[in-house]
Amino acid sequence: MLEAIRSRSQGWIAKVILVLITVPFALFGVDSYLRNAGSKATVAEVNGNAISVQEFNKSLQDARTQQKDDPNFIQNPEVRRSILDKMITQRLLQSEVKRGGYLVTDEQLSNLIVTMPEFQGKDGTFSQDAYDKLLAANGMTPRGFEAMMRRDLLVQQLRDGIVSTAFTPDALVDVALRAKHQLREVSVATLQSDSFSDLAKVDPADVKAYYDKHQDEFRRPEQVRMQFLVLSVNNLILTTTVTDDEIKDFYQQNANKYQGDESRRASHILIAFGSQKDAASKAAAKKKALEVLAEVKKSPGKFAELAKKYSQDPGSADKGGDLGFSKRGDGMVKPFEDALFAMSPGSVSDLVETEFGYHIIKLSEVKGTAQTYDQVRNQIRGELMSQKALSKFADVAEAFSNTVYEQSASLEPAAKANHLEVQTSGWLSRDDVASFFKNNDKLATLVFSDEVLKNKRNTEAVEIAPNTLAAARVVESRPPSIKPFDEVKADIEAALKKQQAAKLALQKGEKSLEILKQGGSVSDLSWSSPLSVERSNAQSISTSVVLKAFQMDTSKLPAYAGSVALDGSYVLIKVSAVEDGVKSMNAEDKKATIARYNGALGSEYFLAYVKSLRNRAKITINNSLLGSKDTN
Amino acid sequence: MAYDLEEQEQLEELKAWWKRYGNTVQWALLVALTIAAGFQGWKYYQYRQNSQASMLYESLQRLSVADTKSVRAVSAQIMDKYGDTSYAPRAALLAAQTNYVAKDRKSAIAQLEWVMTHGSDEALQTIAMLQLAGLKTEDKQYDAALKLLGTKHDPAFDGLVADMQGDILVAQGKTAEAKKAYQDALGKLDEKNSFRKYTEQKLDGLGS
Repeated sequence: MLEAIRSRSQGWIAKVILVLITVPFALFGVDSYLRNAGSKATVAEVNGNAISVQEFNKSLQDARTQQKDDPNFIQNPEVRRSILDKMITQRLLQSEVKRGGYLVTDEQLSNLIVTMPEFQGKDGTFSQDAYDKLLAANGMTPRGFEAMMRRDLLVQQLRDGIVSTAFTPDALVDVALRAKHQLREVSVATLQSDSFSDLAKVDPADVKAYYDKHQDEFRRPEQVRMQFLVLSVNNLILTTTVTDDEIKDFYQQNANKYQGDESRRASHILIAFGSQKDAASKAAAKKKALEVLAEVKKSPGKFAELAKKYSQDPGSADKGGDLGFSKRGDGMVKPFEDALFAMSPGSVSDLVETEFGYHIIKLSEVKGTAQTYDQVRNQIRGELMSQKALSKFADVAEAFSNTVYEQSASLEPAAKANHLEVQTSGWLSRDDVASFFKNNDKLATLVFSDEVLKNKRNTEAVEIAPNTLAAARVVESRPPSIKPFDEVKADIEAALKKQQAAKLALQKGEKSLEILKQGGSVSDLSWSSPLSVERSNAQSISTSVVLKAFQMDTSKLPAYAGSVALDGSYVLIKVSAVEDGVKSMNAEDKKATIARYNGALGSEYFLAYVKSLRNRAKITINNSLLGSKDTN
Repeated sequence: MAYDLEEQEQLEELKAWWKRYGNTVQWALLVALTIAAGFQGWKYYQYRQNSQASMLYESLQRLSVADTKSVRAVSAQIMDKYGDTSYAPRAALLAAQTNYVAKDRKSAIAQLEWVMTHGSDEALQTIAMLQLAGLKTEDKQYDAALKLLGTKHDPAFDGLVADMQGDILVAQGKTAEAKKAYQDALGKLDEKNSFRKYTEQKLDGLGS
């Protein structure tokens, strides 16, 4: 049988079949088969157009990047849902683009791309090079990019086409704008609840009853009073001494740091050791150098000539020994540099020995200024003191920790050893202790541990801040309890009194309001002078009162209403006039408000349009995939 | 090329089959090709219509509302020559807007009515209906405007429809009914868009 298959596969029928198989691949490419192979899972389907898990995850990642990579952001189910909704809207618009036959021609597309600022070359025109490079940098092919642009352009066309149709006949815009920009003349009369507190009587029996009924409000957690010690590096600084010699040394060793922008111009005459640096040639060089030095000292004005004559530095001899300006740290040999920066301008040095030979140096000019020793002395002293204190602190801290631990029945020994004073706190709960020690939870936990709380031992020393240790012990403690009546009696009475007063204010206010509404007058009200307010401009009146004032029925003026303020006072509101704010607007403002109205209307059109597409579409959402964590 | 016996047999069969059905097959092929060509031609026609309408529409969108003459000319071209494309009702809406600004009410109304009877996009038809009702309201034809708003429309626009009903009822002095309409609108308008603020304020103004 195999033989039969083999012989047939070479026949012409087999060849026809082969051609039939090959053609589709040639036309559509292998990738369309491969592409559809994996990633079958879809989060949602819009009119048969799938949103794959991959695409959804990509959108989530993009959203996450926008939120500064907060990983929790995209785990929020509402956020996930709204991101999916946005994708669904995009799909709806894309499928509407297809259905409606909306088109962007190649010409329109290239017009847009050519004018995008991202692709402009140096001469301000489109640069193919910039285009290719930017696309490559974003991992896109021109074809892919153009398809994406076309899609965006079409969706934009669809959107703008709806938004830009928004217009409203003037008469109707007026209705909305008159409501928005109305002015109302408002005055208020406040019945302060405080002014009723004299009339408010609180029965002592009521206070007790309140206490008995609301025990929960008076609960108090477990509390301690504690002693504590704080050892900081700052304590050590005060007892540290620094000598002037130490400061001088430091200044010299760190001369670079203090040189500022000072640079010095030097000339020199070099008498070299020669190729063999043995004692004999050194001695010979020194002899020669001394002779030259004597000559220089005799006629310092001829330094340049003498340098030309004697100097064995081939680089500078011809220039009269001139080396130009240099700063500290520019690479001069150390003895040379030290000598140069110790000289005063115009002077000539004695012999200076370096690895090259003997130098006679002349300082010809100084530029810029360095910080002098005197200027930086105190600064260096401070620096050295804290350095010393820090280096001591490790030892002191260890000793402190040991003392606190070994003599755990008292903080006194540790205090004495470090010239500290034991301090005592008031009553503190566990949270109080933590915040007391700069939110150090560790120490708070230790204070409330059995060892410390019950056995009255010291806590161990804990680092509560850099270079700061603290230790504590409990003086006395009390278990969670309900505050005794006597302690809270006064507070309760005050609160009840306030309640009473507010109630009285409300009664009086409502009665007055009733009279005012009937057209009567109430003599003992003090009305504020009327102010013309807008919704968006409450002036000195509280926004809640203004909100209320704009909800009042103004068919009969003056109109009255009342509202209770946060502190229990009763506010009577009077609207005495209503004005049309649009009338008094200048032409430009009016134009802008109308544009804002039509802008809002355009958005509303578009939202309704999307809703309409949604209503008509077939959308399925796979909730199990929507909620799942990222799979990549 | 020499065929073996089996293959020669198959060849004979094929020849016989072709003699019998060959004619039918040729006709069928011809018909299929004609249909395919027609379909392609029709698609090409559609493509040409849409792409030309798209270019015109784009230039229309770039025009200012106040440029009455150009807007009228371009939109008329789209409506006349490419009336079946999706761009036509959009162009008509823009033309209506321009005509209203130019105080040519008659043309504006005609264009809105054209949108309501042409095209397949119910959303655009509803927008035209809203704007037409607005014009009628401005002309104080309140009952006609309410009647228009009561006709069948895209339910996604119910919030905007109710809002306008409220405006008309206020104009008619029917405060209680207007309140109801505004409240209805607030239930249907988008919750995040700023348009609902206006409705809220209009409702407030009636004294709640």
